[in-house]
Amino acid sequence: MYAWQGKIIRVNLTTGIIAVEALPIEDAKNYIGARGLGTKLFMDKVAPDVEPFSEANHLVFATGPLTGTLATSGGRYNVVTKSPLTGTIAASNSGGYFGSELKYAGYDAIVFEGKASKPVYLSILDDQVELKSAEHLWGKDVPTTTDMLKEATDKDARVACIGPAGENLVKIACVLNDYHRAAGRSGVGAVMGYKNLKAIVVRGTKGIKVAKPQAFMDTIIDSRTKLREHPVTGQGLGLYGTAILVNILDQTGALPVNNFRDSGTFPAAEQVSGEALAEKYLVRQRGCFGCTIGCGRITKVAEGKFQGFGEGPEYEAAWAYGPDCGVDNLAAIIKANHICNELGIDAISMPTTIACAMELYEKGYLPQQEAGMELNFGNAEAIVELTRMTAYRQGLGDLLAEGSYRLAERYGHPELSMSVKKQEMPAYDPRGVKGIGLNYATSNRGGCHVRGYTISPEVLGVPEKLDNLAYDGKAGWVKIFQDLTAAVDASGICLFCTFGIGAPELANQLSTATGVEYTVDDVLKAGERIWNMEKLFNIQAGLGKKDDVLPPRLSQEPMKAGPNAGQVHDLDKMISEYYSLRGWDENGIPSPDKVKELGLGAFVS
Amino acid sequence: MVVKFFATFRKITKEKEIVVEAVPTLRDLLELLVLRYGQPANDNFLLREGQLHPDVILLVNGRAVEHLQGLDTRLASDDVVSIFPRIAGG
Repeated sequence: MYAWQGKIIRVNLTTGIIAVEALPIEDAKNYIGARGLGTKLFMDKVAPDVEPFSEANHLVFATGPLTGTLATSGGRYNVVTKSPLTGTIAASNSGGYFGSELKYAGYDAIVFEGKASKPVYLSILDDQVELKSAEHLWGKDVPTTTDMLKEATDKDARVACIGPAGENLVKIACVLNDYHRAAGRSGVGAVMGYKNLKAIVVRGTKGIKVAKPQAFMDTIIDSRTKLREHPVTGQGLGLYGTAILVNILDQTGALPVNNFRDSGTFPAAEQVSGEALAEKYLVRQRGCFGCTIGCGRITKVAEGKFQGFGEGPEYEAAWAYGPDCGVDNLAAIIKANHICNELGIDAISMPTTIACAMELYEKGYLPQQEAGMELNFGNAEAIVELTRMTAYRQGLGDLLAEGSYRLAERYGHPELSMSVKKQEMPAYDPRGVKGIGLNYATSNRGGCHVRGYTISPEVLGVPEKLDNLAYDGKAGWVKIFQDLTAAVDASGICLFCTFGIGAPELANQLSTATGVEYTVDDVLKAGERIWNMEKLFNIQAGLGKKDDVLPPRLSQEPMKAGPNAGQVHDLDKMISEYYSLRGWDENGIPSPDKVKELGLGAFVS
Repeated sequence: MVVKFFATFRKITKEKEIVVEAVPTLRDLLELLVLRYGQPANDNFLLREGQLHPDVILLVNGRAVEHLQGLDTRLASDDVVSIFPRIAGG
């Protein structure tokens, strides 16, 4: 077996039994790894109606075959579980060095079952795999936990852990690895907290064998050359990070402002932009394992009440804490983002939930005495304080910890939650970018941009420019972007590679690394298989067409000003075509023929 | 009209935005800007062989020029033109 290591660790946290099992090779070929293989391993054992906070829910950490190799930006792994936020399948993707280190220890994946009676962490030092007490780590933040575990094991070890937010079952808690890299979305950190699993520390000293070393190197050099020569991956992302997008979304009029309530332009966009970040607060850029792009931002606020040092924000967090909360203070945004990383909270769902609270407050639905503070849009102190309070479930933070949908529902106005399937939408207003709305509505984990990033063609013109305001043809683009993304996520390389390379390069990388011949069609078919597998889980978990929708605001309230003034989003113009292209019936159920074609019969009840 | 520059283009222009007297079309504006910022900008700035450079994102009042009349897009004195290098993120 090449590229895959051929072994998975199965840990029963209830009994403390640890078993090392052989990786099912046919599953590896068909589901590739990471998001695909991890979800397959999960669904083989867990019923879709499982309660997310229960011993029966599993938590899977899975790498891809390209993780830890010289593949382009090949440092990714996924955390798979049933989400306590959405009730859907959750697969959260992270970079850094943890996934590669797990491969070097000799494993493709770890499956956690059950629940420990007391806090534990899993220690993996090559063949030595042990559960150890984490009682001394419980309550500690991410940097402290990481430092203590490296000190206790090996200074070169890599740590994935939760912060206080995960311990406190905050439904928007994430898993952090290598201090700053997050498996951010869908509350996977809360499931880890429920299981009393504080961390995984791993040190590996083994290599990864690829099937055709010379051919693999040739294809990697070809792919890396393309990434270096592409303006996005060779220059823009490294210089300015993802927050480079603030200004272009603002100028395009698709930058959501004040919980999507106001126009798609923000007067102070420049102040919270990637350009401003680079000019004022950037210490240096940082890449993950094997990355030539280097979009990470190491940032420092040198003085004042928002003083601090850490990583980020990314575009999404810069937008969510900034324009979506009406905040123009970049130092405060950076501080709040650093706290998300330190305490283990999703830096998209946290600020967008605060934005929802701000609108509830301004409309008078959330009384000031319950808010505990003045909570108007634009309150820079509030975004920092509420982030901290949420991690510890203090005051209003206890309600914010449930995410925006449950918050808004509590105050009688769930329609003010800018979420899909209870997960908050990211930084692109569908009224100004039609295709991304279809992607949000159909995403298998709720509101998410990295399931099918059609912003790339619709706004940025990569690989070609589509009209952002057109509906025609978008269903096909969404489908192919979703399928390709699933395959990329499964392989273990970073989605950002797809700005510069595509399915042909991915197929070559996978084929030469694994020795399994993947054509472009095979890659896309694997992506489609993964997408349909996730969909089948969600259907049996009780979700359906009624959940493939956008917040009513987007179809009922025209954008008030800016380039897209007057625009609404009409999902009905695309969703039937999308279902049809997927081989699903009018209710979004995969047809028997499609299920058979993809070999997913075992997942149909 | 107002012309705004972003990201790496600011390293060439040394300014974030300028006000330009009315010019008839986008092509006229870009030729004016290439003259204004001169070499070495010409090789990678806005135009290549008389066409819009493929690595430039050009918006007029928030609309990408691909969906207007390209370089023949007529400009009015109150228009806002936004000029980006090819960028992405997410």
